[in-house]
Amino acid sequence: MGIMTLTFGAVCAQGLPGAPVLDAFPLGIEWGALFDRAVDERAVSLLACAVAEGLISATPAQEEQLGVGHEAAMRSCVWLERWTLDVVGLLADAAIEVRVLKGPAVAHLDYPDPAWRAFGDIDVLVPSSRYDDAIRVLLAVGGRRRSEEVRPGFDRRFGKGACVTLLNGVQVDVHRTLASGPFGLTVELGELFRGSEVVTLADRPVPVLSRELRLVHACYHAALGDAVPRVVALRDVAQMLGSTELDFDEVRRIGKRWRAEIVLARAISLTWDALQLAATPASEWATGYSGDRFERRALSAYVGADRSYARQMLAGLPAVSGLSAKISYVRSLAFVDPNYAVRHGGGFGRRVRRAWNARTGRERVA
Amino acid sequence: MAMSDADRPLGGSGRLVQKLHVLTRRGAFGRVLIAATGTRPLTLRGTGIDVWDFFEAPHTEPELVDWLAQRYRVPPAAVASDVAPVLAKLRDEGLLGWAS
Repeated sequence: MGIMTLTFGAVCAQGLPGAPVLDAFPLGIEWGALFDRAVDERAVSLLACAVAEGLISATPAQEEQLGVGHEAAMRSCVWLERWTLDVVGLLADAAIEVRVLKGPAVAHLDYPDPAWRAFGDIDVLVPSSRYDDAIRVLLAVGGRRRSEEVRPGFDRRFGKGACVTLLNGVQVDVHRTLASGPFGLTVELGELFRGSEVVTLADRPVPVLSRELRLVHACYHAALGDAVPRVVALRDVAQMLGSTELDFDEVRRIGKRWRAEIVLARAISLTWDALQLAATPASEWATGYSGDRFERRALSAYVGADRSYARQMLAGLPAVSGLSAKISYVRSLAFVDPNYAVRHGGGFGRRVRRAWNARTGRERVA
Repeated sequence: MAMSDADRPLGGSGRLVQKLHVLTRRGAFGRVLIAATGTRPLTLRGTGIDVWDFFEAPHTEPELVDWLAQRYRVPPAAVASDVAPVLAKLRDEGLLGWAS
C-alpha cells in the first residue's frame, strides 16, 4: 500500500470512532494528488468538514481550495434535494409508495451534519409491482431512460432498476431492488417497505429505509457497486456501524434471510481496510465470515477483473424462483430486445455466452 | 386589484421571516439555500448569513438595520442601502416571506 493510499483512506476516516490520528494534510504534489482524488470520489465535503471540526489542520490555501469544492458540492446537494421533493411528489400523486435511498437519507440521518456527505443523483425505491408505472410517471414529465431494457418487462421482474434523466439533467435512479444479479434477486422486496423512517426536507417528511436496511443497502453499494468502491460508499458503512442505535444483529438476520451475509462481510472488510479503522466486533465478524457455496459463487460475479453485468445476470439464474421464471429469465438473456442489441453492438449477448462458457469450463475469461 | 405577497414593497412595518420550505447546507464557505420550488441555489457569506439568521424569527427591515448598525458600528443609512438588495434577493428567491 502506497503512502498516497494510506493517507487518503485515513483522511477520509476522520471523525469516525477508531480513525487514525492525523496532524495535517500533506503539502505540495501529495496534497494536489489527494485533493484530485477527493474530487473524483466526491469526498471533498468530508475533508472540508474534518478541517472545520478541527480534526485535521490545513494551510490557508488548502482551506480555500476545500471551501470552493465544498460550496460547489453543497449547491449541488440542495439542488438535488429540491428535485427529490418533486420526484417524490409526482410518485405520490400516482399513488406509488416510495423510499428515498442513499444521498439525502444518509446525509441527514447518519452523518453528524448533512454537509459532510455529498451526492450526485437521486435514488428512489418503488415496489416491484409499480415499477413500470414509476418509470412512466417520470417519462411523462419529459424524462428519458438512459438505457434500454434487455427485454421489455425484464427490469420489472429481474432487474435492479433504471436511470431516468429529467429535462433539467438531474438523474433519477429508479430501483426495484438493491443490486443487479443474484444478490438483487434474493432480496425480500416486501421487507423494504415494511416500516420506514422519515427525513425532513424543506419541512416535508420524506420516507426512507429503516436504519438497519440503510446499512444493508450501503453494504450492497460498497461491496457490489463499483469494481473499486468510492471512499464515500465505505464511509457510509463505517458511519452507520458507528451508531449506537443500530441493531447489528438485525442487520445480520436480514443478510441471512437474503443469502447475502457475504455482501455485508465484504463491505465491512473493505471499509475497515481502506479507512484503517481500529477493529470492532463487527469488523472481526466480517473478517472471519466466508459464506456458503451460493454466496461465494454469487459474489464472484461482482468482483475481480472479469466482473460484468452479463456475468451478474447469468449468476442470477440460481436465485430466480420457479421453473417458469427461470425459463423466462434465460430466454431474456438469450434473446435480447433488438433495440438493446443495436445499442450495445451485440456485446451483451456475446458477453453472456462467454460468461456461460467460463461458468461451464469451456472457455477461460481473461 | 389586491397586491400580491411578492409585489408588496420591502421596508416599513411589515415583518419578514424565513420560509419553512427551504433546503440549506452550511460550511466554512458560508451557507447555501434554495426554496423547495426554487430555480437555483444561493450562497450567503459574511453579513448575508447574519441577515438570514436574523429572520429566523419575524422582524421588520428597520429592526434588521438597527441590529446590524449596532453590531458592526456602522451608520444605519449605510446599512439600509446595503441590506435592501439582499432582502430583495432573498424574497425573490422564495426564501423570505411576510409573517402573518
